[in-house]
Amino acid sequence: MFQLVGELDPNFGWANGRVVTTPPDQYAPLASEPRGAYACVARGPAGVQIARDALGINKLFWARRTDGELLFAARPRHLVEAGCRFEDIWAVPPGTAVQADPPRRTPRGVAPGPLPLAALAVRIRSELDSYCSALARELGDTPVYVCLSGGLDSTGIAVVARRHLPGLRAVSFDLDWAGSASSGDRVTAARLAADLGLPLSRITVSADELLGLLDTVLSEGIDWRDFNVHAGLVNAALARGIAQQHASDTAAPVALTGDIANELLADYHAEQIGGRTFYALPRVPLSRLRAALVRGLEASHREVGPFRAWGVRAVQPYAVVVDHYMALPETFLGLDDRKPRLCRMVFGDEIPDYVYDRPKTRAQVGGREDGGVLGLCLDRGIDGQVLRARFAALHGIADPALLSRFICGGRYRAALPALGGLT
Amino acid sequence: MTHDQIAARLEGFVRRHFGVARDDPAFSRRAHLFQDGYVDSLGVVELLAFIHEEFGVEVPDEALVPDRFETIEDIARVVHGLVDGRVDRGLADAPPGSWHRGSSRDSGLDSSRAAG
Repeated sequence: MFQLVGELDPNFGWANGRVVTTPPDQYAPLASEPRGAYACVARGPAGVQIARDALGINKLFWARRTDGELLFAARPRHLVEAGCRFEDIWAVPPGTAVQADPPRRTPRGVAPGPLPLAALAVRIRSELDSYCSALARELGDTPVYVCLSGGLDSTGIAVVARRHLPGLRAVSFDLDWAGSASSGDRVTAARLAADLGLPLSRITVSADELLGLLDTVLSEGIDWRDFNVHAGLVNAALARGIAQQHASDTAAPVALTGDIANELLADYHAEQIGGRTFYALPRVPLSRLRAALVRGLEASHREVGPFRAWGVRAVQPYAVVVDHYMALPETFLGLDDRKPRLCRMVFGDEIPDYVYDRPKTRAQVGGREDGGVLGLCLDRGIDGQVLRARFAALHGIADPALLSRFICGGRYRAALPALGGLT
Repeated sequence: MTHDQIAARLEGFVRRHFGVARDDPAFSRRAHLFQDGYVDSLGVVELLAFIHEEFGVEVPDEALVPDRFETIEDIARVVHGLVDGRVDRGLADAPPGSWHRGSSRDSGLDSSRAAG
């Protein structure tokens, strides 16, 4: 037998043209593997079902307690609090689909031949439209926000979502630190929201307010690495701001984010602050870098986790089009302007030129001279070692060196538990 | 190629690429590369790229498990198995009392493509 500790994250999978929102503790045989965010552990009539989406967007951990009981949870911290040792915690591998009735065994079809770039762009757009349309039907009058950073990825989600979600609102993050002016992200987001006809909630937090969210981000984001923690802080501030506006609502609000697109196109670069390099990337060929970034999506909960902490359901629409992105020709991946070029094909002039013309910036930096959240953390002495030590403390780990055994090669340590006769 | 030859190439790469001091008394083929800080999370990706370039094999996710992929000796064992086609990708790396089934190899996503 097994026990589920705490709630799992809500499902927003995508399969056969339908949004799959089956509660994660409810048995529901899968006809095909969902894209998007999906995890499940449930007892069924003939056994146990364990499932996790291919990218590992939704998290599912397990450990066996010293008394032998098998426990599952969406956060390692829940398992530690239930009496498990951190060293005994494993992730269910991404792409897992185990069920007893009927036994899950999807025959591998013949892989389609390579598609031209234009056809892939059409498919990306079509599937994003279908997903947002289905989301609109699923969510009814639930408040839905799109997180606008003023960059291409979130703007792409905004222009698609506003076609299908008539009540769509926008939300923008900024940091009120050292008397600095509004960030480039905020300025662009405000202009964009006005141009798209979206009401904008401006979430501006002080340095102390933001850093007060750190422990929650470390626990709920299940990661200590600076680039993900800093992104998680931005998301936590947005989540808290959204939640404050819906304190008396019965339905949990939804936040759409443009996350994942950077990984899908390997559109990252290191940041330089004060002559030092942060967010360094592995020195490997671009196609291998992209593969590493995509597989690394599993080992962080920087989006869903922090939003969930404030009762907001985060949805990452780019997760449903991963197959089309991964099918992009390698020659295209080698182009310096691959992101704007693909966005032009997918979103066209629905995205204003001033967004296309904007230099690439990370939400953690926000187009600020002072380095935004990254700069603030450095200013307060919160570097990688501090984050690592704090994560360890929050999970009852005496030796932070053990963390290198928890995330290895961009993945959580993963395996499936023995379930005996249950399957 | 023997296990020892593979280990020697891996050791050369780790020393060269990650700047291990020639006279580091703690470093050996049995040193814990990740836990002892010789290779960080970015370095793992670079190490996997080297293995692909040098030995023509891809290390599957299932092999990236502590206890099985921690030292140069461990990694050489995994690579040797892959080169010889002896590694059972699904079962080689499960912890005691665990099993693998229905992993990404069975999913609709083409994991080989997704993994690059």
